[in-house]
Amino acid sequence: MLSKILVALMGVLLFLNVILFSLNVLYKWEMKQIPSLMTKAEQLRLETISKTKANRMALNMEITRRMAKENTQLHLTVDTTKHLMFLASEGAQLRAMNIKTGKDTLIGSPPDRVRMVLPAGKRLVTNVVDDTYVWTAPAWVYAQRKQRVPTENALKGGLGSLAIFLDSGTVIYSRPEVGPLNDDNYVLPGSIQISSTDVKAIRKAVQAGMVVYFY
Amino acid sequence: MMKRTHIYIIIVILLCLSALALINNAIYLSMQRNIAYLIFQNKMEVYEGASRQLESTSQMLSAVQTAPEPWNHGPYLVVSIAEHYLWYKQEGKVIFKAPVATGSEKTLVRLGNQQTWRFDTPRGRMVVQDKQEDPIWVPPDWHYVEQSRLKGVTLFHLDYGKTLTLSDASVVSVVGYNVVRRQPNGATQILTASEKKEIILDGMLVIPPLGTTARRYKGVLGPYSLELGDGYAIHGTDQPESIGHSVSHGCVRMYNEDITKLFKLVKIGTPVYIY
Repeated sequence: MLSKILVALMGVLLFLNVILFSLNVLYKWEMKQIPSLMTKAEQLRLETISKTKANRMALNMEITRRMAKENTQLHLTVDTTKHLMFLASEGAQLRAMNIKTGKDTLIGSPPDRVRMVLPAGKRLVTNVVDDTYVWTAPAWVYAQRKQRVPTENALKGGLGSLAIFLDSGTVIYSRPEVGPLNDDNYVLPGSIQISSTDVKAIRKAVQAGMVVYFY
Repeated sequence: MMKRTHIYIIIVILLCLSALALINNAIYLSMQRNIAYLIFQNKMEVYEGASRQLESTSQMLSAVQTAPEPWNHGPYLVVSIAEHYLWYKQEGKVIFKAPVATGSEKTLVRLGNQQTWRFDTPRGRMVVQDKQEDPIWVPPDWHYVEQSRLKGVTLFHLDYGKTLTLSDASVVSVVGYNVVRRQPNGATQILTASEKKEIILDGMLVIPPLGTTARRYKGVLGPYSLELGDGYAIHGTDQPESIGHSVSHGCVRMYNEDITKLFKLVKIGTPVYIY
């Protein structure tokens, strides 16, 4: 009788052991799966946030483009993807100009590191200067150009016959006759180079306070 | 028989111990798994939040991109003063283009009353207010000031009801719409004028009053004119050699064949942007 009870108990215990063993295996398997699921979720989250940011940027660009079209005052618009700048008013393109843009560049060393990039959105012209303007080229420009900084680097006409300064730090200029910017293949980082023909055409139309849209 | 019972008891005890160990391990693993699921769930919630934001920005972007343009611009005229050029455009595309002459940017000062004229083509936005065929030019006062200087004569401003008695006793006055010279014997002569052929009598250049025939010049503005208001216009010329230069008194001059083509294209109300 006792041996029968023991055998039955053994059977029950064996079954319980099998169940518990299976649970352990299952939990371990799930534990192995979760990190990869979490990585996937994290990837999805990052991708989604990145797409959201891209959408927001595209939304801002589109809104800026439409703001430019509605501006009844004479203004400049810069289409950074098509490399075109327009003199425009209330959606009418008065002049289309081909532009060259400076490469995005990090200058300085930490913690005083500055990223020189073209701005986005609405900016203002702060100053317009001609070839009498004396421009001191920063040392990093000479470094990029692999040139030695001259002892006297304050250059009259160093920004060409017309330079338009924006509140973002961007400079719209034509190739000067002197200095490190006297090169069609090099554009000041975060800035815009236009042709001297365009400069002559728009110089009397551009004044401080004029709006410049970047999209 | 006793031995088998002992073996069974030992097996039962071992199975009990094994079950206890497995239960313990299962509880530990279950807790770890639940914590991991909570973290995963949290990440999924963050992802879902980001996903909802993405959907929202996608909808906004799509709404903005598919919305009608702020203003579907009709055709417009553009004049570049620096380049002496005119373009007729629509949506940035050039429909017609031609060289022009623009204001000389010179200043004329009339001695005596210190009146000053500045011959600029105005920058900014104007509108084609009227279209005229065979336009008549009514010379402004500055034209007579310029001509008097060129010809070295003085100016006489003839008004309605005013007379000018000349050395031969003839009298110049305005009769109706004409400037008339009456001889002492009663004979009368209607005096006419045209560009560079103004009325000069006794060393005086006569400025006829506005509204008289002597102050209406034909052909000076070419065959057509697009009136911009304030005395400014885009018109043809009798001086085609002036095109491409800064020589006008503020108007935009074109070759006659160009204004003929442009006149047919442009409607009243067309914006004109001058820069």
